Amino acid sequence: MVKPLLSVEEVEVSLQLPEGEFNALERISFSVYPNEVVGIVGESGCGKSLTSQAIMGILPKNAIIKQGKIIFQDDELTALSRKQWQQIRGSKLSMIFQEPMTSLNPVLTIGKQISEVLKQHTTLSKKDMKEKTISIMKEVGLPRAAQLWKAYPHQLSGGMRQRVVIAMALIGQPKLIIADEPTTALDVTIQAQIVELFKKIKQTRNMSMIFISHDWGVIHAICDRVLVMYAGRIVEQGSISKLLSSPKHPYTKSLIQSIPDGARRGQPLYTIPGTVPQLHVRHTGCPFADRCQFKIASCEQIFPHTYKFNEQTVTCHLYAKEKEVSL
Amino acid sequence: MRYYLYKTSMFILTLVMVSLIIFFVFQLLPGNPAQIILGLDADEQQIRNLEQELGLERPATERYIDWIAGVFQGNLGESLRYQLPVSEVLADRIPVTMSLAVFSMLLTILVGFPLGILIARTDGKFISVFLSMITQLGISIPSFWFGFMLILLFSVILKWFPTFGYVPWSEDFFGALRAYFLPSLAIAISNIAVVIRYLRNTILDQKKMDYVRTATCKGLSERAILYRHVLRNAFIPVLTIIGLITADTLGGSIIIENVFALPGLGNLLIQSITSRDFPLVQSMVLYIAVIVLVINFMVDLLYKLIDPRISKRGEQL
Repeated sequence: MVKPLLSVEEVEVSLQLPEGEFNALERISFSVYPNEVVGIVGESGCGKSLTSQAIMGILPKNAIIKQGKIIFQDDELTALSRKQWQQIRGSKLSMIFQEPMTSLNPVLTIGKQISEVLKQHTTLSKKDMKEKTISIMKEVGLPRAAQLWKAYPHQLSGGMRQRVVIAMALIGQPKLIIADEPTTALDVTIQAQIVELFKKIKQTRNMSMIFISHDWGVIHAICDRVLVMYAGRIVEQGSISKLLSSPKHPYTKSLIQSIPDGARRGQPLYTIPGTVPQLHVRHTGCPFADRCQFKIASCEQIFPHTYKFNEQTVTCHLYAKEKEVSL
Repeated sequence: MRYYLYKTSMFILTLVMVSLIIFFVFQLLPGNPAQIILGLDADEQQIRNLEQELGLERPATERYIDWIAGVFQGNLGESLRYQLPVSEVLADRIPVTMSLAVFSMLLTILVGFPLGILIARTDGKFISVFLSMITQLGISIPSFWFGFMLILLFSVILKWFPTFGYVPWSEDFFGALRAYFLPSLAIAISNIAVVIRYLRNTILDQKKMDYVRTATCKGLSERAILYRHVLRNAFIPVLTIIGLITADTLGGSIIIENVFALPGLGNLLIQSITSRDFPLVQSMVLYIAVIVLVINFMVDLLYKLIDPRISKRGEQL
């Protein structure tokens, strides 16, 4: 069996809020294998971004990893010192953010911002750095790279800035890139171009990706495997084809049902009744119980086990009888 | 390039507006200038004589043009009190105020910037809280109190500096340096406190920006992020404050100049107002207005150097 590149084991993250301390991520476990693209889907506030921030070591000050391990290659990330983090970030592990408008420094040139990664992690000469930077800019589809080198972020469109951010994430040749909703802030035509770029990167580069999105179309185009998160838990995971063709968790089913579909044109779009429970009202049972149409007696009291099928795992009481194997 | 042209033309336009306003405000003062200069108990004849002397019987526009033409030739009229050309009176005073301003701005920047950065870097720790308290005091205590305390400590008790008085640079360089040090410090203290607090706040604000998170994800150290990314952005708003403080100190500090008995512009302004030295007051108001405009103009030019976004509608690539 192939050794995973990243394995997140039973990670629990709590948030310190004025109302008290609440668990925002509960016992999150998943792996990312070499050359694999793993998608994370879920509604806003389900913990997608918190998961990526925990892996990247950039959790907000009021969030603490209470327990669990995050193992990347041979390093236990939760135990790294500041110095060790600086060596890993940008060179082995990098991240792409949602907001291309604000994620670049407005007063530094594009060239300087991209080549800064090389300056930090390599001992290349200035000339080599510039050459490498320009070649990566061409790779991510930035036209007239030599001219753009001297440009400032405000002179670029949103799509071009996102390409700059992607170039910055790629240039250190990391083993894993975390992309946190990289297409959400862009308009639709640009979104399609950026998705194409990610597909190309996936084919040509020898690396893995965690791709966070709430857009099933984007997830379907890029990801091999998907995690479905709800209220700080992973409720289902499996290959993208399995999840789309035979979703098991009632939440996944509802999510897929609410994807707009040409065949149902004219009919009202399905929406899941209710909202994600607030952090401070989460109880011991299944967090989806209140909105679930298949709810049974035990759902409100007991948190379900995780049941394993071929290429899928699901955390739901409905599958207790079908499968004995629990994790 | 267009930015510079735009700013320069705005600068000249404002200058013209300001000179017009200054001139006509002095014309619009209730009563006539001769009456104001001479006071209430002057008789008709005296007023008429002075009117003649000042050329007040001519139309205002003509007098405005004369005044401006005079300004360009260095002729600002004659001071009534000193019986000397205004330009000579000012030339005596400007070096004093200028020295104080340059000295206190140097102190402000050399002390304020490092401490502002330090206090932002150590945010939340004891040293930061302690320094913040001190800056609060620096802002709330008036500068004349600092002036007196500095005199008491350094001049009376320690005898390191002269109590007051003034030595021209040309006479005794080190003597002048010593004479200017305490008053400059007294002016600088509250400015330093303002700069520290302002710099701290903008640095902490900038640290919350998304580009800092991006820089962290590149593997940069906190130090590199601060010096390479944050500071340049933080300097943009701080520059505004520095401009305001500079213009303010160049206008002369009335209180500090009086506390240390320095013959600067602040001192002169008070004297010229109380002695109704109308040509002198008018010239000083013009001087202060020009200083403020020039500093603002320079700040605008510096903005452009730090912040590339400023070029109006930069060419899209």
